[in-house]
Amino acid sequence: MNSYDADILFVEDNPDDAELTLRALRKNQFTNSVFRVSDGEEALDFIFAKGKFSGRANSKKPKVILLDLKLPKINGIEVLREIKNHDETKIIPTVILTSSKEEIDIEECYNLGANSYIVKPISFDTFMKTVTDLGLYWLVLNQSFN
Amino acid sequence: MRKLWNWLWKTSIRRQLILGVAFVHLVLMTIFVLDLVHRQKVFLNDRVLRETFEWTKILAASAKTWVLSDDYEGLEEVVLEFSKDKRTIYALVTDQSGHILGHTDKNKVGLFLQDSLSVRLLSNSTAPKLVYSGDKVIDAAAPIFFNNNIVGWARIARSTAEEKIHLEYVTKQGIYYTLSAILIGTLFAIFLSSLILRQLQILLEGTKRLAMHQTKTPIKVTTANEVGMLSNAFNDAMEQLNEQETLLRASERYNRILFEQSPVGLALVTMEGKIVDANPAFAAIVGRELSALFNLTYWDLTPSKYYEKEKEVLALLAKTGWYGPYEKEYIHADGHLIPVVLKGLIIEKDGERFIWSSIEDITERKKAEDEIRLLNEDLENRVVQRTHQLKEANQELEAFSYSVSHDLRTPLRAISGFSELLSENHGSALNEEGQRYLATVRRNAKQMGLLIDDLLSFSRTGRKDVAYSSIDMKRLFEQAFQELISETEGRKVHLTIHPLPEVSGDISLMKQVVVNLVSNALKYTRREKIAEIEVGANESNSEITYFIKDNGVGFDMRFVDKIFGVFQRLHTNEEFEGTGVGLAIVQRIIHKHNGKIWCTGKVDEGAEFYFTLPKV
Repeated sequence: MNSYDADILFVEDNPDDAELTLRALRKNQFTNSVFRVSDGEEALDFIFAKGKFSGRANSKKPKVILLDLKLPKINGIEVLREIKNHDETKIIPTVILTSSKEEIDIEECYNLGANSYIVKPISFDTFMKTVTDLGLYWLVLNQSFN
Repeated sequence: MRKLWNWLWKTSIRRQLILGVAFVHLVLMTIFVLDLVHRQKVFLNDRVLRETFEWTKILAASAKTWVLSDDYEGLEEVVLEFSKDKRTIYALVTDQSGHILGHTDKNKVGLFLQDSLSVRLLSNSTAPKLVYSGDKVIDAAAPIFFNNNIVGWARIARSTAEEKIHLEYVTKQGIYYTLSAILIGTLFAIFLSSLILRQLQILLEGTKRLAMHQTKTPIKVTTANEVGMLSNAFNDAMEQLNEQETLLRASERYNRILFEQSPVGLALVTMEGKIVDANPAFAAIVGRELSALFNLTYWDLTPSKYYEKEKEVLALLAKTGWYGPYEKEYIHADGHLIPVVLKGLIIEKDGERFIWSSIEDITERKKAEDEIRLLNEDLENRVVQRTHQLKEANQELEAFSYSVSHDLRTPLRAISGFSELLSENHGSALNEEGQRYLATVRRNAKQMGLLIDDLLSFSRTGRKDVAYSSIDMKRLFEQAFQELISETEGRKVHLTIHPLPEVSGDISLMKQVVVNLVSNALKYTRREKIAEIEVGANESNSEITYFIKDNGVGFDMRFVDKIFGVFQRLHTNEEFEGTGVGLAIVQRIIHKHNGKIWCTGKVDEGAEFYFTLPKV
């Protein structure tokens, strides 16, 4: 399987958060279908098959995008806006996974068409449970449209 | 006659007096002279009559012997004796039949008296008798008796010319005296009138002078009589008048000075706007000579842009009788506009209506106002600037909160997560002490997470606007207890919620208040065998006071001030967990609703929290 055909596009700049998230996903055997990028630009390149990801032009769309908001280069809000602005990408479920509990962030993301907004819990146990539930829901329970 | 009387009434006193005195003298002297002449005439008549009778009697007596003896020659001698008197016109003696026996005119001796007078006399009388009394002649007769029989008549006619002359003389003399009296009287009247009238004349001239306002010198008083007294009174009155006039003039001068030196412009204009009077202050305001103003109307001084407003002011003035304060501008002689404030009223002078106005130059005030306006604008700009700065600061704060929310939580999550992983995967490699250290790290990381979350919540509460709606408080309390039911597991909690009135407030914020208070009540009654929690409310006209009472650990009232402070705690984390932010949030929300919050308590005897919310 081409790694570009990932079920989950995971956009996260912080390696520690990324490791904890991936660990939680790995525990539930979702690891193989995860592709991680670490800034907004890479995320957009991947989604729209540009730049170093131009090679994935014919690859299938991810089942879900896990998007952090605070990102280098292009922030998560902009990435979300781009995704939801294009017909070919706007149907991809985009889940905001962030530390921000700020209402304006939540409001804006939903306004832009985010499919879900999840605040990363600080507590490790809760965090593990949240990520597990997340993977389970979007990869197993949710019927995506391709 | 009436005309004469009118003329007399109107003519001068001098003439009245002279004419009066002359008239009185004329009348009195005429009466006197007439009376005198009459008396003289009577007296003279009597005398000549008496004389004539005497003479006739003497003649009769003298002639008697001669008549009896018929001696006519003797008789003639007797008769002739009588003609010696030059006043005798004739003397005669007759017998009783009228036969002239003797006569002063010898030719008539022997004739008979045949005239009717003589006949009547001779026939009827026996006593001496006046035969005729005329202007020039008096004729009398006396009988000649012998033995009681009339034997003849003696008759004498005498001339009365002498008496007549005398009477004429007397009459002339009388007229002369009359005229003299009139002359003297008139002269006296003239003298008297000039005596009286001289002072009166002076008085008259004085009054004429008074009428011509030349009242400086008093009139001369030359007499002490009534006119003199009147003159003195006139002088007194004039002096008083002078004094009053001096006072009046002083007062007028004073008023004029006030008018002319008034710092406020004053102007009297006709209803059409023509300037009738103005003071130098007004002239100075409009930069013109005072004299030049009187050829102008205020319309000449008013810029056309004020015409409409001016008409409104005039209409108001006509209706109420006054106007102002009214701000406008005047055209200065050099063309620039001077801001002024006007006030005025309608006054009446000699039946004509005028507008009496005060005009104040408000250039300085306007300048000050402009400065104030500039300052205000500057202030507004600064307020805008400050607001902007404040907004920026607020945004920075929000960015900070965001950063706290995001950036602090991320490493915390790493600490928490990786220490968990360490414990999970490599716990066996650590000794007991190492494991205790690791647990401490995990516990503190968790507490820090709570602190950050509460702090963010507190900060969010401050920024959030209150969205009012009607809130069912009883339901809110019940929901809060329901949500916190896990707190009551394994405990006996006796909960009483009295009926609570609805209130207007922000539902999400109020929920935070209720949850915090209920959570505290449950937390601090944790050690009680039976937790007693009571919720109720009191209502007044303007507000509702809610309370929540518990029988928990309570607190020392000495520290009551600290209860609502951020991060202020009265218990350690080991006793009761918490961050010290909950009640600070509660207080902030209540204050945002314009309410009050307070509490009472006693160590180990519970606490009561009260909060009021205004009725909307």
